[in-house]
Amino acid sequence: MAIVLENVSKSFGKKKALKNINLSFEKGRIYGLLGPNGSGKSTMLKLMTGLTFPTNGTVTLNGHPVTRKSSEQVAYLTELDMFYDVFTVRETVNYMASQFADFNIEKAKELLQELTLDPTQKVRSLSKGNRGRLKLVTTLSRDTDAILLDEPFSGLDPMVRDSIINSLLKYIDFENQVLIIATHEITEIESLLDEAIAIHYGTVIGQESVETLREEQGLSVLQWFKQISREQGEG
Amino acid sequence: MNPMKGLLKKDYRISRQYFWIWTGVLVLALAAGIGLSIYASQPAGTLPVLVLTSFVHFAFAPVFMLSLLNLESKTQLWLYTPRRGIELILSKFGVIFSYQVVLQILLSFYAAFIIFWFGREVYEPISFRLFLEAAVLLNALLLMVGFYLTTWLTFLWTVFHSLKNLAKTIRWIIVIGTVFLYNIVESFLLSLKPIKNLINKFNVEVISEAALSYKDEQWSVMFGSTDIPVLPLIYYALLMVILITAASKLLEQKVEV
Repeated sequence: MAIVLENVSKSFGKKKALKNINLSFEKGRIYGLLGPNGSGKSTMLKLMTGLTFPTNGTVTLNGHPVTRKSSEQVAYLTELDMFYDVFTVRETVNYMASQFADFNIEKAKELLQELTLDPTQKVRSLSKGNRGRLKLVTTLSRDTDAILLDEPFSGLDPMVRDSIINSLLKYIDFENQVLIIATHEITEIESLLDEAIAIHYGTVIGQESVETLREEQGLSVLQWFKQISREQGEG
Repeated sequence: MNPMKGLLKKDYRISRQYFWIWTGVLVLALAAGIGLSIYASQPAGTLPVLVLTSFVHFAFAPVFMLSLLNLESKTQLWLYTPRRGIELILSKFGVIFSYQVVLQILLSFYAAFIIFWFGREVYEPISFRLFLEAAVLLNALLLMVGFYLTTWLTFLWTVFHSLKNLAKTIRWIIVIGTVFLYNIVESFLLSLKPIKNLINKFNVEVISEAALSYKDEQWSVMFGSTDIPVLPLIYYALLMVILITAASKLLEQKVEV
């Protein structure tokens, strides 16, 4: 499993969201896409899911160009709410199960129980934290090769953040899946990451193995990110 | 649950509240028609209500489709699927079609009720067989026109959302320009004599109008018939297939979230 972005640019009108990106993501690794709000992290994930298309360049998944159909192989958690408010929690899970052949309903039931979500509760009456949990249930219940998480901690309290981290550790097959987490909350995921990729206004400004950072440079991911962001600002 | 069943179930679920509101308003309007006719001792007063509510149902399918598409555009869930664009669109068409059939059956029962019972003394007597023939044809026509407009609306919606990179004003100009251009081409083709002749070659006769007449202090209703050409119906059916196919492709390959 590999997701490859080659010379990818993406524009929205006159605004360039991504500029000439070249990246490769391999299975068995956890990547952190790090950058401030509006740096192009979400656009990059959407390109990998087939929800948006590159203006230039190519995005491939296992050697094939990414299309809408690629969502079959990519589980994606969006930063936005992607629920139908009239659904109950159970209906949401059943709908996702009907659309994706790899959706593991048993895993979903287990996750619902673990994250203490009531299957009969209406989505519209869920708290923000529980909506975050439900997003995680629908994403982690899929047995896909790639899992993309866009700001999984956005607006959530520390308790929910902890439960999300625990679920990630428990339900992700670290040998066979590639996990890409886009976030600006670096400290939350630092302990999970194998590789950190820093994005600054549509450009990749750095990519490092977290182990190398710690052992050879003696830097945390946050320190490294601050350092290269500063250099970028000065440059 | 198979994916198409899942899509249909979802579309019913997200739209059923709108449907009940629409049905409630319709029932109230029909009941008001009867109530006012009784109050004025003019059973023919039910006719304007029937005509008006039937006429409004030309807009039912496009209005419903627009509200469903706008609801979907608020989230990313609809397009985050391996299902083909045609499946996503046909699921919505299927749901709206079933709603429209239910509403038209309700209107047909109302028509039968006022013609054969409530207003039998003032409506021109027709056989039940003629009523059935007219009901089937007029209902088919209502469905076709409604879905023809819905097909255009769906196509134009996907065109508008495919042009996300352009300014909104330009997108609107392109959408309105497409409709304008199509109408110019269609009008030109219809002005050609060979096409005019071809169109009028095959016709079917249907009851198309009901007129009120006033005599001896009593309103009564008379029916009239008209010829409907068949070939344009085939042409519009083909055009609908083309528009839906184009909308599906745009949805799959160009519409972004």
